[in-house]
Amino acid sequence: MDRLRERQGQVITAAVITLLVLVLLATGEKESLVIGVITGSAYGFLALGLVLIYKSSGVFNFAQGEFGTVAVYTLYLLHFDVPYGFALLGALGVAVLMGVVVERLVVRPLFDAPRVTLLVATAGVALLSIAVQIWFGEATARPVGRALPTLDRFTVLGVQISDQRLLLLGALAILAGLLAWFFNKTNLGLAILGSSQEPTATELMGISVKRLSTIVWALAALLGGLAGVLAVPETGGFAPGVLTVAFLIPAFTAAVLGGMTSLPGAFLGGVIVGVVEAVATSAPIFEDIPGSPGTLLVFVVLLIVLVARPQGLLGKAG
Amino acid sequence: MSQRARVAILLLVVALVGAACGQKTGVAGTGGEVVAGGGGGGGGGTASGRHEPDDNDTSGVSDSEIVIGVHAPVTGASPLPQRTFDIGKDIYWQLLAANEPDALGGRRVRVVFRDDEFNPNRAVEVCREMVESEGAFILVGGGGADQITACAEYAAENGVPYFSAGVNEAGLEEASTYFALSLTYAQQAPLIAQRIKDEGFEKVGVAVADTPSFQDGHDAFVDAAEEAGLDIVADDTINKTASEAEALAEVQKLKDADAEVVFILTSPLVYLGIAGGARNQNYDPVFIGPGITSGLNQVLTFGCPGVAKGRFFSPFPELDVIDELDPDYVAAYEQFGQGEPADDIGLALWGLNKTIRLMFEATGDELGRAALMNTIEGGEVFDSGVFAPVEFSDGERFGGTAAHLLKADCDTKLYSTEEQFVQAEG
Repeated sequence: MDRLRERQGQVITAAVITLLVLVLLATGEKESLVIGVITGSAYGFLALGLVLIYKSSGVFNFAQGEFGTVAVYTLYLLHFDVPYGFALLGALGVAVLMGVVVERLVVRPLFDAPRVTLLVATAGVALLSIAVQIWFGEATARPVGRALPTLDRFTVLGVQISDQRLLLLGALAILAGLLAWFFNKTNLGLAILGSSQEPTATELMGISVKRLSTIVWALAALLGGLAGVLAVPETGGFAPGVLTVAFLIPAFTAAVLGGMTSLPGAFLGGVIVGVVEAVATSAPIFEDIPGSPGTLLVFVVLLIVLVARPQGLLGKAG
Repeated sequence: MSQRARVAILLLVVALVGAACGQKTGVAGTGGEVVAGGGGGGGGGTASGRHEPDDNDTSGVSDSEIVIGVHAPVTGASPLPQRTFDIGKDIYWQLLAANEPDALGGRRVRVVFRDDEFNPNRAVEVCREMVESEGAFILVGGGGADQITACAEYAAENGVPYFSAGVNEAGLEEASTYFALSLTYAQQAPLIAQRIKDEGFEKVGVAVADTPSFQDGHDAFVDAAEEAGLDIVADDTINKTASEAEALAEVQKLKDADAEVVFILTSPLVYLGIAGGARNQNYDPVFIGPGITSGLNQVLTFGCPGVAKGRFFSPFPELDVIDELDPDYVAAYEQFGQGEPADDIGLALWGLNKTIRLMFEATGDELGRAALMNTIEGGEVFDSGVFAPVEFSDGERFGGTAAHLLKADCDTKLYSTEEQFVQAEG
C-alpha cells in the first residue's frame, strides 16, 4: 500500500513537472526553462550535500555553503602558483579537510546533543568561516576563472550553454544517481542510514558510528566544494561567504521541495527553484510585483508543494 | 495534515501574494518618517528655511578637534574594501594638519568610520552610534543609495548635517540637513541620454534595481531618452540582490529586445552579474549609467572582460587625470597611505573631504551645525577642483553642477576619465 502511495506521488510529481514545462513552452518562456535548469543545478549541488547530512544524521547543516566558499577561495589562491587542474584538486582536498575538522571539533562533541544544538553549531561554523575570510582577505570580490573556457558549446532554446555549465550539470546528475545507489545498494550506505536511525544497534553490529559520521561529513564537504568550484566560476568571481549568502537559502528550499531525504529530489528541487526564479524575472505578469518576485514565487511554490505533499516531491512519508 | 490546515495555508499564500501585488512604491523603509524642522539634536530647520542660530549645536566640535562620522558598506551584498576606507577616510585631514596646522582654527579633524553592511536599518544604527557615542559633528555617506537615504532621514530628524555624493532625490529632498555634493541620478539622466544619442545608438534597454531609491533616476532617464528620440526597447526593474537566474533572465530579455546600450542603475554586484551573463550569452551591449560604486576600479578587477564596455558618470575623476587636477592627492598617499597606493575609493573620500573643508572654513570660528548649514545654503559656490563645484540655495538639497565621465579599460583594469566636468543642464 505504501509502495503504491509512493508511486502515486512520483506520478503526480512527473505530471506537475510536465505540465509546468508545457506551460512555459506555450507562453514563450522557454528561455526561462533553460536558464532555470542551468542556474538551478548549482542550488541542486548544494542541496545534495544538505540532504546527505540530513539523511544520515538529521541535522540541517548551515555550514554546507562554506565548504564551497572555502574551496573557491583555495582555488583562487592556488591558481596563482599551480595549473588549474591541480588547484581544483587542492581546493576539493581543503573542502574535505574542513568537513573532517568540523566533524571532529564541532559535530562529534555534540553527538548526543539535541539536533537543534547541532543546527546552531553549524550556523556558528558558517559565521566563523565568513569572519575568517574577511579577516584574511577583506570583504573584497575576487575573480576566479573557469575550468573550461568555451562559452557557446550549445544553444538550447535561444540560450547558450557553456562547457562549465555542462560539467556542472553532468557532475550533478551523475553524483545524485551515484549517491542514491550508494545509499540503497551498498553496505556502507545502508550502514550510514542505519546509524542515523538506530545508532546503538549499529554499534552493536560492530560498525563505528563515529567513523561513519566522519565519512558522511567528508562526502558532504566534497559535494559543497564541488558546488563551489564548478558553479562560482560561471558567475565570474566570489566574495566572502558567497555560497552561504547567495546559494544556501535556495539550496535549502530545493532540498525541502525535493523531499529532504531524496538525493534525486535535491537535484529536481534545485532545478525547480532556478526555473521559478527565472520565470518570475522574465514573465510580464510578474513585472508589477515589487522587491523580489522570484523569492516570493519560490516560497509560494514551496508552500503549495508542502500542502499537497508534506514529504516533498520525491521524499518518503514519515 | 488536515483539510482545514491545508485550506488555511493556501489562504495565507493567496493573502501573501495579494499583499505583495498591492504594495505601493514608497520611500525605502527605515522605520521612521522624515520630520522637517528638526528634532532632538537641536533643530534641523526646514527643507527650504534657515537653520536657527539659537540651535547652533556644537556637538563634535571643540577647540582642538572636529569629529566626522563616515559610513559605507564594507560587508554585505555590495562590499567595498575596508582597508581602503580605513586609510582613505582621513588622508586629506592628515595632510591638512601637517601642512596647514592653523587651518580650521587650529582644530584637527578626527574621522570615525562604521560599516553599514549594505543595510539601511544597520546604517541608521551606525549613524546614531557615531552621533551619540562618538560625538560626530557631521555625518558622511560613502556609498549605497538606500543606506544614504536612511541615514540622511535620521540626520534630519536630529539636526545633524549629512553629506554624500549625489544619489536619489526621492526621500532626500525633504531631509533638511542633507547636502548632495555631486549630481543626483536624476540630474545625470539627461547627460546619459545625450551621450547615448551622440554616439549613434538608438535601441536602449533599461535595467534598474527594484528599490524606491532608484525610481526617480529611472523616471528621469526614461523622460530624457524619449526627449532625445531614443527607442527604449526594454524597461525592467530587477531584484536589488538578484540571483544568477534572475540576472540571466534579465540578460535574455535585453538580448531578445536587441538593446545596443543598457542604462544600468543597480548595485555593482548585480551589474557584474548582468554584464558577466551577457558575455556568457555572446551579447555585448554598452553599459552606461550614473555611478559611484559601479565606476570604481574594483568593479573592473572583478568583472573584466564582461564590463569592458562600461561607462559611468561619476562625482570624482579617475587616477589618470588626478595629478593635473590635484597634485596633492598622490603625494598625500605617499606620505600617509601606510604603504598602500593611491586609489579611486580614496579619491572619492578625498573629494568629499576637500569640499567639506571649504564649507567649514566658510563658516568661520563659530562652527556649529546651524551656522554650517546656513553658510552652505547661503549661495556660495564651493569648488574643490576634484568634485565639480557645488552650490546650494533656496533650500536646495542637490548642489552638483557637473560630473566626470569614466570609461572602462580592461587592458589596465582601470577606468579612465573620458571627459572631465560634463556640465548638467540648467
